[in-house]
Amino acid sequence: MVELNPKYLEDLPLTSYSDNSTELLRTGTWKYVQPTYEDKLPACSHLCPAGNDISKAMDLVARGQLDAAARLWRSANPLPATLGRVCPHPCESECNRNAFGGAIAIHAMERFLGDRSFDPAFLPERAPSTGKKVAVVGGGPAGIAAAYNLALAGHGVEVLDDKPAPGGYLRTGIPDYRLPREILDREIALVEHAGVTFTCGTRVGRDVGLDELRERFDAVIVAVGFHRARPLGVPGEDHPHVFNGVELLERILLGERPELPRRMAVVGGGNTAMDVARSLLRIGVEPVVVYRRSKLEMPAIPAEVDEAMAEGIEFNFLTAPSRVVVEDGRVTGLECVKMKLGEPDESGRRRPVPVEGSEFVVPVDGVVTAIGESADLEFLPEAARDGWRVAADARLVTPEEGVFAAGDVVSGAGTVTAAVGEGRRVAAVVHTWLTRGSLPDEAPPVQGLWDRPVNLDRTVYVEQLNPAYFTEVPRPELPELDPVERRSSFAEVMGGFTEAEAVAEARRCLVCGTCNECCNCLYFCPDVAIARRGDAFGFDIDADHCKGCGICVEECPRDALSLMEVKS
Amino acid sequence: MAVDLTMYDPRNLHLPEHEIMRSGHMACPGCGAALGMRLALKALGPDTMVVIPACCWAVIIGSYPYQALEVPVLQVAFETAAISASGVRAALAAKGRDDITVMAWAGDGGTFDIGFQSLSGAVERNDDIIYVCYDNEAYMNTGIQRSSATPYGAWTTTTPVETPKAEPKKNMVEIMVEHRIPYTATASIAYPEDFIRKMKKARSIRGATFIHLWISCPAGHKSEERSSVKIARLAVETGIFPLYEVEYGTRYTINHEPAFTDIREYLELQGRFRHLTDEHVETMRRNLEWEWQRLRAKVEMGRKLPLPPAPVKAPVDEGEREPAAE
Repeated sequence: MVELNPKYLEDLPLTSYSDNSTELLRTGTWKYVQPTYEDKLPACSHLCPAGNDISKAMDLVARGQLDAAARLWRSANPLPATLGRVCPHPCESECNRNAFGGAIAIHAMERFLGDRSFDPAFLPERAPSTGKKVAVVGGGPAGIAAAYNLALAGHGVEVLDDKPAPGGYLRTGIPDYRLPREILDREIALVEHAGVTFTCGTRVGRDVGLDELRERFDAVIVAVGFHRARPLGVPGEDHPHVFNGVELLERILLGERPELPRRMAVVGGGNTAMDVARSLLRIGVEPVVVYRRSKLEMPAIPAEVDEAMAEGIEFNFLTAPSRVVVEDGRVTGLECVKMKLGEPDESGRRRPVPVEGSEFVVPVDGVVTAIGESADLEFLPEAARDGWRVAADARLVTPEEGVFAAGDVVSGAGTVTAAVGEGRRVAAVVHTWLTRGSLPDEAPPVQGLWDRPVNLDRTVYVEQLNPAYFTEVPRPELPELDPVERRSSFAEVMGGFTEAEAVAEARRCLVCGTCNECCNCLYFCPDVAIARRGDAFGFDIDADHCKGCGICVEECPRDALSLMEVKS
Repeated sequence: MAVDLTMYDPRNLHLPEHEIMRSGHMACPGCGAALGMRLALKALGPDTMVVIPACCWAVIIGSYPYQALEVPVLQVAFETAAISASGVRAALAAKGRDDITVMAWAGDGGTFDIGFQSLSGAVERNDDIIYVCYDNEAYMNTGIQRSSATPYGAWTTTTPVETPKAEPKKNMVEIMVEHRIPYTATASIAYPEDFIRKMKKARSIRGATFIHLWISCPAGHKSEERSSVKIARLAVETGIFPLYEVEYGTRYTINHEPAFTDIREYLELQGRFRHLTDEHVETMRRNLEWEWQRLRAKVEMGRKLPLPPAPVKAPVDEGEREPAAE
């Protein structure tokens, strides 16, 4: 240790010495733009007809909070385990991960979260009773979603269905190899637990009239779906070996094993046609699919078509039936005409045009028609009908006061997922009407029903992400039953995630448009103007010191911040 | 590094939480030098003394009686950053304190040009200091005059667009390497984990260490404030500013293999390069290729060579000093 001579200290010149913190200086007044945390709609949720909050749930799974994620997913969607099996998952086609190794397996995640939450403990808390009563006509996916959300909002809800058990097309039209009955039963049991009463075997229009319902209930929701098969309109159709696909499928799925011809033509290219063909295969019939357009135009879920092809089912594309060939009272074939694709029609698909003189016979012993379904709406007054649909406006309100509508009878969208989404929307409209006595200008978009605030006008696509923070990670393969084994069994084809697989997959999610506390904003701020919130989720911006440079907005990997003009 | 950390943890970066730099400093919005200091002090912790010569940071720190850092700072004349840090180290030694890190923090003008001789002297003596040159490639604070750190082709007020800078940037890292000091490294504000690791490593070494930190300057580079980190990242990803470290003038390690993004992506974000012709860009590309050939050759050479024989300047005694508080 060196001792300083105090004499030298006296000789030192005066030196200025600063010891006040610059925090006293409000440099935040320099700015003309300011950053704000603002969650936006991820591309996946933007396309989700059921309106699932995918990014938030993925983030929870990635953090290992699996139960919280399952609770969030089930909070407004009563059928996650079902949709996780039958949804055509448009979300994955737009997933921003496609640019970095392949879409997130959102469909499998929904199934994983659904299967995890069969315990009533996963249900949201039910709001106090409002004393209002709602009747839902039709126990399919739209009706179930509407009933579930209204029951959770505190209303008394009764679902009327003409079948022996609720579920609608989920029960009578979707085979076990896609949706095991046990899964559907458990989800419906949860809906009952949420406070919904199901009255089965009651057909509105036969057992009870609409007017009576309107008297007994404060609101009525019509969600009867499409059940009546459309006729083929060709000679020979009235033969007993020409079956209605919807009815035949329902019988097979209820466990009946009717005597059927050995080789049957299945006419149509939609999901019903695929389900009929694959179910026939499983009970020993040889199906031949006949479709008038090409594979590209098929309305069926592409994965279902691929699975059917993998199972060895024969497909005849660009083939339209013209006559059922009956010889000696027996069906011997289906006369068809070859088609070619012409100009696009109003559905955007190319219209099939017959090729002159190309008639040929597909040798079959029977025919199943599956060319589309329509609704049975005779119980509704004329004014509430619009052809094969219910006359409902953008608010999902019919001209009959207190009567609302949802599902295929409104949109004709034809997927379980769209039906669930519309069920949620009609529930929101009915809830507003019952509690406030007013109607919105239009039914809210299903994403607008989330608990957390999201800017619905901004969708996050890959262009809005900061690619510097993402590298390619490949999509995992999901287990699938061997096609040979599938041919003889109604066992479920697709496998699901294990817990570890689900977490690994969720960590691949880019969590677009949704703050996940990645901390880039916190760490890159040159002005130390961003701080953790402590106990609460997220960060706070210190407006007194933020100079509005926007680095946090630019470096946010997922577009969860926006730059706003400062209002003086 | 641009690793998809979401795979392993939804929180990407992991940096020390403790803040030693305060808000309210005088840096322009989007200043890379302010971000650089913040990250450097996160790495070094509170037991640090900082020496700042004339440079942007002499202003950023705040005028009397305000101070933006929670550690002692000595503000000194332009050419004396390194020698003043040596003096602070000598004073600490005289007081028997060897637990304090001394960091000289100077701009490129005060390092490449004006403070060059005192820096060379300090590292030749292997004084126990960390010298950080935060490089914004011109005398930004005094009105954007060219320095010997200004790259080829860049506009400054003394190299106008009619006659942009014709000479390449001085390679300061290699000059330091040739002093055979224990540790020399480059770093970037866009790669904070790499920068903080290097600062911690420098802190653990008894002897002279030199960190060359590339920073953006919206005012001098004529760039958007919000793009500061993006431009710093592109400087690395184009290969223009390689991230590497050198031990004892011998052992070279490239810390991040760049994507070699087209240099136009980097140039287009900065007004100081707006006048460049295709010919200029082509010259830059050829130069970039040659620089990388040379760097890779040095990596190879370092692999074959042993560390220099005695007299080695100072023993590396990593970890002996108390770890920085986080």
